[in-house]
Amino acid sequence: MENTAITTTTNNSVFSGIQAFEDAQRIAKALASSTLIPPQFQGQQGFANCLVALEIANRMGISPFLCMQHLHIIHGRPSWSSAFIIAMVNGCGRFTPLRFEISGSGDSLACYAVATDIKTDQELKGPTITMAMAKKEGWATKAGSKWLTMPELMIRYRSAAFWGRLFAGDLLVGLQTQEEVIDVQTVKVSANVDDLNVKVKSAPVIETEPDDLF
Amino acid sequence: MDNAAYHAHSAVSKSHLDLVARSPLHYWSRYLDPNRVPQEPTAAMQIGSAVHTHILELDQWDAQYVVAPAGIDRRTKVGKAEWDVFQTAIGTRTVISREDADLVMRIGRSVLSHPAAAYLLGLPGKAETTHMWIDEISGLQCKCRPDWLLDDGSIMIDLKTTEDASPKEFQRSIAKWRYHVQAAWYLDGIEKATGKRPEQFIFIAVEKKPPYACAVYVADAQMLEIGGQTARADLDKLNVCKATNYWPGYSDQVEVINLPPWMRPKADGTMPSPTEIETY
Repeated sequence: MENTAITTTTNNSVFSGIQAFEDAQRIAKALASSTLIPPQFQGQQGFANCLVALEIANRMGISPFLCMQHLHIIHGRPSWSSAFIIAMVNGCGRFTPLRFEISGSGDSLACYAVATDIKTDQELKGPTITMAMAKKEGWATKAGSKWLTMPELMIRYRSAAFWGRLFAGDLLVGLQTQEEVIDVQTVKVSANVDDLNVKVKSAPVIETEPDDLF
Repeated sequence: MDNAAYHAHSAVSKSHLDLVARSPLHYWSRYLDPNRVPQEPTAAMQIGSAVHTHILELDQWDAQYVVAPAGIDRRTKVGKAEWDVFQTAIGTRTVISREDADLVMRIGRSVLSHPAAAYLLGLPGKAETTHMWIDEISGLQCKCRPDWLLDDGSIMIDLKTTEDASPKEFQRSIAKWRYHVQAAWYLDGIEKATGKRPEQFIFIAVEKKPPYACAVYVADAQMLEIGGQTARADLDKLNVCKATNYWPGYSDQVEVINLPPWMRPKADGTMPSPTEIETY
């Protein structure tokens, strides 16, 4: 039996021409006025997001509505929910459903995702994710991290995301999962003022000129 | 690049993002409308510019500003003639009244009397350096011009003149003037332009009325994160508008409007106190 991937390449890209873009704008406007789609796509603010979702849905060959339900804008970047990635891999017809091989506990908790390429019968094993890795990468040390409260679920999600990027990049159109985007966003600034205040205290007092400077 | 050339450059600045956030139509009206009227700086903006020059670039003061001479009555023929002579003599310099010059000096003295502000501005750095970069996602050219950037690139300082520099009121200024977007935009921009991201974005807030109180604040990580997300959304919106040449204003339809969140009943059903409403 011939299996066909869900993803198809079409020539109907939103950006393929002026007419296509104008048509997409009309569709985006209609979608943005719906209250059934996620808030980030609603209204005037969501109009541009709708256009992006239309383009991605078109490239993936899936319904724009399905795309919007699972496309999250995290730190300004579009990203998929991990559950959606698993569903895409399982439903595409190219692979057997993803399995998760989990072992250990605590810091030695480890997991990798595995599936078989139906056409070649080759077993495709994804990278092993460990809790030690999650801690070193800072995924598990951020305040409010789900790695702290539900590590077994997160480690499966991350294994699936890594597997998907390695073996089904075309399905995901290069996007990360929302969990990855949240985890890998580093704190880019130091708001620690203690060091600065120590320096301020030890700095010589500057006498301001009492004279009129003009 | 001098200040005028910086502002005239078409690259996207934080001010551009502010207008896009209000509505793309406002952006188009200010920057693209062929019949647009050049914006004259407001009195507050003029004072702010003079304070910047006085505190950050004092050596430029005489080249940029001249205090209006006293005793010229421009309602009389003689006074008009004297004023014309004065105007010819000053060239392109900006005229500032004696009162405003005194105000600028007092504000400057207050800032330099604040231990933290004086320490930070005493560190080796440069004022008003222009940085440009290309946004990878949209391909748009972007720009920023920090008030003060330390020579080692570790700290960026922004000087703000304000009515009230207290933490509570400055938070409102942050929300109103989108300073969080500015902080994130500048940090990201400098990282892309120079390869080094400043570790801290510091606001020096100084009041414009006696006692010219001054405070120094560091933007925290959450503020920068939300500011960065907002800037990204604004830039994406601008990119779509440019690509489509579609510049919508507010809604074309009749919209329902309700009370702002702070005027609505609280979670426990009680109403906010009148004081909370008045002072918001």
